[in-house]
Amino acid sequence: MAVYHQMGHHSLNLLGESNLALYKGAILSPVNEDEAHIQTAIQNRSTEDFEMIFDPQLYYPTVERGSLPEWEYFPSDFDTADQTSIRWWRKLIAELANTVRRLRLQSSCSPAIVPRVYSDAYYLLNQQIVALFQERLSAHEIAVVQTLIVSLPDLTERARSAEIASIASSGSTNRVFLVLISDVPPRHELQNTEEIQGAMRLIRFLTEAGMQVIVGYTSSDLILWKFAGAQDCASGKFFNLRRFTPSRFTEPPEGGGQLPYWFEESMMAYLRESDLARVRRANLLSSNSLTNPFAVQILEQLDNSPGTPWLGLSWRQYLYWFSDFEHRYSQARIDADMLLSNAENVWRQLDEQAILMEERQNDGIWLRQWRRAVLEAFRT
Amino acid sequence: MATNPQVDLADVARSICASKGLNFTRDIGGGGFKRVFLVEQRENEVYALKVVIEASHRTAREIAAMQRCNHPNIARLHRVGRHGYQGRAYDYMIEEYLSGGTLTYRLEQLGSLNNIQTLNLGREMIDAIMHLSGFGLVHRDIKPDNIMFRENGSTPVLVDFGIVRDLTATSLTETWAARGPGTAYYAAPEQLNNQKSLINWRTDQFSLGVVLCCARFGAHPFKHRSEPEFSRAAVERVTRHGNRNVDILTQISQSGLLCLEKMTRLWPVERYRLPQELLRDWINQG
Repeated sequence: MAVYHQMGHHSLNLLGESNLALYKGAILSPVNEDEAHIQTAIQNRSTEDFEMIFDPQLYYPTVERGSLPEWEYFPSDFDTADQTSIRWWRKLIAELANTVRRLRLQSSCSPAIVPRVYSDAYYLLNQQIVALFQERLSAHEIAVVQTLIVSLPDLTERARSAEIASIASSGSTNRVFLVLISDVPPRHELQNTEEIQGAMRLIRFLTEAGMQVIVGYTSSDLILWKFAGAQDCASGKFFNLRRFTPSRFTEPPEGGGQLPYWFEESMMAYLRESDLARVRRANLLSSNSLTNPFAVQILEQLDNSPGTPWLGLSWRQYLYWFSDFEHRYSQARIDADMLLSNAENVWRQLDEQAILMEERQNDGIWLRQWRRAVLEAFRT
Repeated sequence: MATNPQVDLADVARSICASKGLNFTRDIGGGGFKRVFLVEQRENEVYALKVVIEASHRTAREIAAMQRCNHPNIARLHRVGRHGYQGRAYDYMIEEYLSGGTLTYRLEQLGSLNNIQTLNLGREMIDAIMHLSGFGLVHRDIKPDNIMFRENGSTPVLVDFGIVRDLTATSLTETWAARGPGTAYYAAPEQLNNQKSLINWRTDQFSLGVVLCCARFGAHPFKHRSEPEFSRAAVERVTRHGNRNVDILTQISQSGLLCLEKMTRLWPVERYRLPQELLRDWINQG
């Protein structure tokens, strides 16, 4: 029961933060760093207690490759190859296994691409890829984590979670790195209850089958996945702003990607600076926010040096909350429905006091859908 | 090869015996694809000679599967060949002859098995399934007729690999088929719904769970009390992911054979994930 850093652009410096010590490890991204940088990070930070997991990140390489083409395992024929052929994957897997061995990693996610259609055939091929990768690494004591990419809209069909889980649990890997794909725009919360419930059931099926699920690219939605039984969740500094969606790789046309946000547990929402001031004036910041060491620094800075940038602190404030929340949840100190219900009440109080957030979509409306998901997902 | 209705397969069997130095004894039955004859090599050395009525890819899969297996609870294949008779070629298999009869026969005699007998039967069949799964094989037709006993009467043996699925080879069942091969009454929902992607050793686990429930409690776990034996309703319930019989679940609980509850769950992911987990729990229960 822990959290992992989901490495993004210029994120390696966060690994050594003493106030982020609850992180159990990091999921390394070859899109953002070349092999030499990753190697250095591993040498500096890898310990028995801190697990470095390599994520080959082949999800959307036609859209954004970053440093990927510099990595030896990235195939030169990526654009022209038949990616449904296991023969093509064999070669890629062999190269990737060499890379992972060279990096002296403890664990690696299996390679996976985002398909056009999430069919059974796609998931069966994924199982073959996982098995081949495992075969390559088993003699080297490197654990393979099965990458499982799932489209949230597919999960509205009630049986689909069980079908995907049945295929994903047919191999011998015990760990799953779950990537939920959705086209909900960045900075918007998931709001389709059926999709959320489907994902929760998928997680529950896998965990009850004895598999450990790491949900990747999560944000405040970790409350849903933890409720469903996920062992671990991963998040990064950018995921307080942008969800993992196909559009994630496209900079928002209106700009604003670098604005600082404060994560407020009492509302389960991200607040811009002006909104933070409004909520603070209404005395609705949670006690957990007020004891977050980075939050304390932000408030001091806003009081004493207004106008000073606090972007770096905002990442840390969020990342601290993420790990602290997971820790409290794992110790059974949080009741998901009660917390969401209280958050709804805070939004109601703000509404009654005519305090509206600067961002139009920031209205807390998703909390009702989340509560429904929590209350109904496992009702028979 | 097309069937020749003019030819008596017993004559084909006699011809095979003559060419291989075997003594033809008698016809002991068969199904749609094969006819089985009892033959002797020497005194007290008897075999089952199976003459294939119509050779197919499935026959080749069956032979290949049996040749890979070497397990005390799986029927031993001694020899395979092709024999010419009256201008036609007939495939045949010579297997060990299991004189202890089928589980069906035993249940007719005994009514049902007690806990100890069920535990022993289950342990040996799980071990057999585990062996098959190691080769990527799924039997797909585990039922009382396909569990036979050796002469000692206590060693169960899994027979008839006629519809075995080799997960390392291309499926022979068309995706458009509404139902996959298997005996409906004992089949898992993924077989009944032809969900080929979900077929693996857990499919055999389900069928074995149903067989063991029938053997111990006298009823299919999805058959409700008022329904007749081999009820169509039980199969429909499995196909449509309906509910199990609460009485059977209670009996499972009271008997201590708790693994049966998990073995007969509808989605493969809900059953035991790995054969060794099932074997461990099976041994530790009861």
